[in-house]
Amino acid sequence: MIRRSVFSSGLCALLLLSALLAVPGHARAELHIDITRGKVEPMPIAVPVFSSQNSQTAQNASDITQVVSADLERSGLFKPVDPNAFIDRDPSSHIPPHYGDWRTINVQALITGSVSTDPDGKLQIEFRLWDVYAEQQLTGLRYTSTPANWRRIAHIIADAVYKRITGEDGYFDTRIVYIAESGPLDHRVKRLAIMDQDGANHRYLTDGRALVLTPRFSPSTQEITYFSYARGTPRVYLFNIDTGQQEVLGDFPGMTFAPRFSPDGNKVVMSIAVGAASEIYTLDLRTRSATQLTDTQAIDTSPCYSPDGKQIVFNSDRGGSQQLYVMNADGGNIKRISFGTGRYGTPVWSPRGDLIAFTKIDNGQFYIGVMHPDGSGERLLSNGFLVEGPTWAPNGRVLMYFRQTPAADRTGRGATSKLYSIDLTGYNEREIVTPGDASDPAWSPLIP
Amino acid sequence: MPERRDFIYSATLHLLVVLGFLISLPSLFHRPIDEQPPIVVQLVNLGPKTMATQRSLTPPVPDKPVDVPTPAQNQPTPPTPPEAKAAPPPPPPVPKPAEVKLPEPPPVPAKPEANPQPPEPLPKQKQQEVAFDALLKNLAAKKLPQQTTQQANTKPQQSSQPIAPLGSQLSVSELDLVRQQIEQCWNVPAGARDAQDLTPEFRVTMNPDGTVRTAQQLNPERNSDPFFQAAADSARRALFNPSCQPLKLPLDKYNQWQTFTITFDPKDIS
Repeated sequence: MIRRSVFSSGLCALLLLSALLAVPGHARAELHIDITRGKVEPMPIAVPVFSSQNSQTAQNASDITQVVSADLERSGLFKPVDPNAFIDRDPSSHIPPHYGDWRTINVQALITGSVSTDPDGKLQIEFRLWDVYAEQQLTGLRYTSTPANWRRIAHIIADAVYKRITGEDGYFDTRIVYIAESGPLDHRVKRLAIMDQDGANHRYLTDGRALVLTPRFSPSTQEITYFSYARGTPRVYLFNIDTGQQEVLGDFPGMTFAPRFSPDGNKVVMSIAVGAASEIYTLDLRTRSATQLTDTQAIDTSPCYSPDGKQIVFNSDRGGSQQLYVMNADGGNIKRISFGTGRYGTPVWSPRGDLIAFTKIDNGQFYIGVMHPDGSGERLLSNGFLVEGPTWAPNGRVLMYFRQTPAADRTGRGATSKLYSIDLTGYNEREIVTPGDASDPAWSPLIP
Repeated sequence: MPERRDFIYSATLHLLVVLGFLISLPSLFHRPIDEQPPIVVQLVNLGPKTMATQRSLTPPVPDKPVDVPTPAQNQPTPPTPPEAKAAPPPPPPVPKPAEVKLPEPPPVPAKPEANPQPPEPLPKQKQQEVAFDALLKNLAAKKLPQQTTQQANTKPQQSSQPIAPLGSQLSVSELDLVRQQIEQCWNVPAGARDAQDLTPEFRVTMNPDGTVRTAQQLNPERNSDPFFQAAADSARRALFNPSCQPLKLPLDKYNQWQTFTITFDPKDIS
């Protein structure tokens, strides 16, 4: 009995305790702040001239620093600070900088570096990227190369900085192939030309005797596919940049055009004219066997693979007006994705996979735009009398295209055609300076 | 007899239990207020103006132009002489062994090699993405900025006030001010892939003068994604940006804000 009463009183005590605990108290929760807004502006970055061993390397150091700074500035995401503002004008690249000196002038990131030569006469270039506010080194790398390669090293450094700060792969160590145009409009000379993405190292690849159009880079080799009238009949050609060799791709009865490589570089997808219609084919570059993917009475053209190679986007007038369609890589499951007003063409799948860039013609105006692969989220980034032919930087962050201005008279005076790049956000539209008029740019992958 | 005593004993205890329940029951069904409802706004002193509703995005406020020190300023602090580099033991900011990767293969004019573009998975469409996309320029959307700002403003703001006696709480306007200060310094990862998922979180300890003492990232495991790491770095820079410090917080409520957690979340960016 006593045991029972002890048990019940224990139970009561427990209950009482729990009841007391249930009484609310003044619990202290930690303060929490949500930051859900911010700003978009270029990051102030300092790129003091890399230190050098002697007067010989001093020029290299100055040139490299200049190219790194220019690359970062052109991306629109960085704002190199005027060197006249530097308090520490000769920061060593081997010890942490005096962060206070850089904070004072509102620099958020700092690149220090040095250039020297090794006994073989090769350049040794190293750099470090510092976070001034967090007072830590973000990355540091060293490169060794022949002095002639200084420009590429500079682009590679800019790529490393870009990647560390944005998380995105860089795109500075790349090239652009495009159509260089010259002469009067009725006797236009169109040549294949190639240059670094910043316009340096420009050279012509063809002599201009035959009309060339729509060059496209191979994702895996130093090859370009393009459309040319070289042998009378318009055909798709393959051009090797290293050897200068070109060859006709496939032997088809009709005209072949609008070629583009598959992501693995083993196939080319293109259009073949069949009577009044045109169909999409793939051509295996190893076996040279062709596979027909579409079969309609419509004009199906401008095919482009998704980066995983599983789908193809193209434009077609099968529904009455020219619109964008996506199909499986074997030609099945065709779905229309563009439903806006106007006509859509030249779709290009982003290397990142998340967007498709296109040209849109609406109400007499041309636009460069992007949309998701399911057709949602259409955004128009640039417009004009004629803007066309978008191509993606290999990181899927920047687009390049060409812009024509109308001629002042019938002779074509005043008409220009220039290359432009624009950030995916729709800001930072810039002209890419070329020696003459330019159209149809194609961005290379990062140079291996 | 003992049975009777037991009975009384038991009855008393039962009575106590019932009493205990009567006292605590209301609070059992009344959940403690873990978040301040908007009504708090009526109880606290609002500052003369609350600035959190102002959209502080693009075009960015070009505050704080880089002051170019006059040559006179430059001279007093001469750059470390080159000799200092040669003599290795400078003041002991340990020269970090720096992840200097040794000789990258000289980038010779490229032999063609198979190096296909890595296929990237298609990102999922998300509701949040729609809001985030508004940050991106679209020539077709003319009224979008106003509309989205409106939506953002009418949305009930989640209160971040802790439960504490009213007098010592940070007022809504005080919190708004701090929020706005940090927003001014946060460069959002616009244009990054799936930017709306990049939400670094920090525990911040503060000095009484309103400057940030430490900021420890609470989700560092996500930094293996270079995009997330870049977002975390950008958030840390916002916290330590001298342009945005000291944070305008009342010293008499220091115990309220000496440590706090903060999340950088671009989901509402419009």
